[in-house]
Amino acid sequence: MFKKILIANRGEIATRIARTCREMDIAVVAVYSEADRSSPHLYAADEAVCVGPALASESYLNIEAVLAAAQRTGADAIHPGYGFLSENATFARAVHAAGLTFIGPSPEALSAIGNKIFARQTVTKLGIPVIPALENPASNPAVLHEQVKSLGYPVLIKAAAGGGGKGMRVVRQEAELVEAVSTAQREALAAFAEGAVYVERFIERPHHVEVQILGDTTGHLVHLGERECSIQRRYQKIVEETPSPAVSQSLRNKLTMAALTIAQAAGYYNAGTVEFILDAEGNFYFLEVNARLQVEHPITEWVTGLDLVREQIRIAAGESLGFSQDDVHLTGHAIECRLYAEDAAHGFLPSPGKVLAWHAPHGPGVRVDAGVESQTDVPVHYDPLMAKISTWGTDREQSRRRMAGALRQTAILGPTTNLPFLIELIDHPAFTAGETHTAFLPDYFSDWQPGEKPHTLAAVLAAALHRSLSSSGSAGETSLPSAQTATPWQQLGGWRITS
Amino acid sequence: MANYFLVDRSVLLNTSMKTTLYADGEELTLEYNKDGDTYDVALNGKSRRTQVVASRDGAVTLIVDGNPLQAYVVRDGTRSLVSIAGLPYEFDHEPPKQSRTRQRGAGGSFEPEILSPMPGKILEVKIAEGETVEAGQTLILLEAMKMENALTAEGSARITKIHVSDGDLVDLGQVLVELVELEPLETE
Repeated sequence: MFKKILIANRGEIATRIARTCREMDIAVVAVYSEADRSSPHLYAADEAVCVGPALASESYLNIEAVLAAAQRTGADAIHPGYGFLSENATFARAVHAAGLTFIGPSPEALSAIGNKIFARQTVTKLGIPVIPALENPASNPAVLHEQVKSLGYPVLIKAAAGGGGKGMRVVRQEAELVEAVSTAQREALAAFAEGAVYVERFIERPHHVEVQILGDTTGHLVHLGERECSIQRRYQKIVEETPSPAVSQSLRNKLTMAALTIAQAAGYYNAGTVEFILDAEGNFYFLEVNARLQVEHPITEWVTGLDLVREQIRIAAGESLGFSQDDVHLTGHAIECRLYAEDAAHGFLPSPGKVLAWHAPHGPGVRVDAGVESQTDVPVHYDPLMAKISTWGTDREQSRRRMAGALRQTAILGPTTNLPFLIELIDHPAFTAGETHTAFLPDYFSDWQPGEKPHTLAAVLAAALHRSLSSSGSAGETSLPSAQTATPWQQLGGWRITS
Repeated sequence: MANYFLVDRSVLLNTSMKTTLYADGEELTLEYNKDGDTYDVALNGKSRRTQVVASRDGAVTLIVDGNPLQAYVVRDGTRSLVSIAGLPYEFDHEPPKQSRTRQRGAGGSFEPEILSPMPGKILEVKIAEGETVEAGQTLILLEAMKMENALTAEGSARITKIHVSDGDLVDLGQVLVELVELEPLETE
């Protein structure tokens, strides 16, 4: 087993991975950029190394700097988390070449499956349906227009490398095509250092369902059920759940079989996710493989009882899975809400800044994976995900009600967040009914504005009291009977402290 | 634990008190009046029976008309930020200054400046000083948190001044471009 793991990531996922390493008696090295000096992922680790300035391309995406940090600290393995270098085959190769272990699939599997175009071709050969697409969009606008016309509008433009909604654009009419393609290319280049894009037919109101797989290096593969990830804004997920309300047992059998077939054909090991699009008629299409740990992995951990990071580390260390498909029992229902520093009332614009107060919810069936604490910054340079709140229940409704309670227990002050939006979303009748297709937000929450707040009087009173209590002797409205032992409470004159 | 105080609810305040806060430019006047062991707390004349039960650093527990509430509070300059039941409230302790509103497109009037809608990085300035632009034309591409945002002209205009160039980091509300509105040409 490894002695020391470097986590090539930041924020909540770096903290989460560090926890499992600690449990396994493995020392942890954190890396951080100059913008992340206050990030809690630093002190979740045993050692921390600055790998460069704020720009991700010069720090978290800087292969040389990350490798140098691993070698200098004597780490014997690197966990890439999600995003950043996690699906970068060049990085995985460089890690192996340096004599360290990359905690993830083989570089060969990463190249094969990480390139969406190649993955589509491979999957088509296996007889699994894929969405009709142009794999090599022409750079000449006239040719491109003809190509897309024969594919049929609306179309979706996607980055060939990477995911997370970066570089994705829906185009409904010809006039928007050329600009959308070049925007997508630039975003792809900035996010993944590779500008290649492809164009596929856009399926209206589908469900986005993904199957979690785990495999060891001896070729033993299992699936851990599916996750429903349809509630998205800007093609990025906000709310996920497992099992999917849209998947029957017979459909689950087909989806999980398809996922395992794909993984097997790719010689895949470690944790991975096979994503599918489910149309309104129950047809499914292969979308892509995410060759890494997913943001939303906690809900799978809830229903399986497994620690996916632990499994990843064990597999990377050459251990066998040690359990079979029959040993995997999916129990109950789990939901995750992503808490973002963004303004849901204004086009989900990012709202970076300092977190002034953070109070995490707790209670039966509540889990919080947070990358923030009070007085830490949400830097402008990275994804605005601050925390993930997940809840488990014996059924969907219990899980949903626990989430509704957990969100109301949460306090975050400083940046504008999507918390009020999540509170309304979780209680919306359509969500309660399990209507979770990708048009959920446009259908029910377009032009959303926060509703009437019920506790304005209490909030004003709390603000007024807090000001009185925290202001020093110069504060106006109240006089001080005796200033010698003045605590804030005594400054109000008639207040008394009893223990 | 260490910073936890229990407040004797019978001695919250000896006398009545009045204080004014501001939210979204609106005045909120709060009055406390002692009545037995609870207080009538009135906000803009509307009264609720309230007890202040406890407070610790950054949090106040209130019972409003029998309903216990936990309020998390922080000070940020002249503002107080409060969170109750997951929802944020923001108040200013000082009256809003007489300043021109910088909301784009509010009331349909033409704004002579393009402000950064968020902190971010200028990816590309797509216009030059002196250039004439049309409604909807992209002026600047701004990247924040890895998403690209196009800032567009709201009407036909001439660019008079550009304050940023490619690669600059900008703050929320920073002036990026100044422009003057061009009258639509009258057709005879």
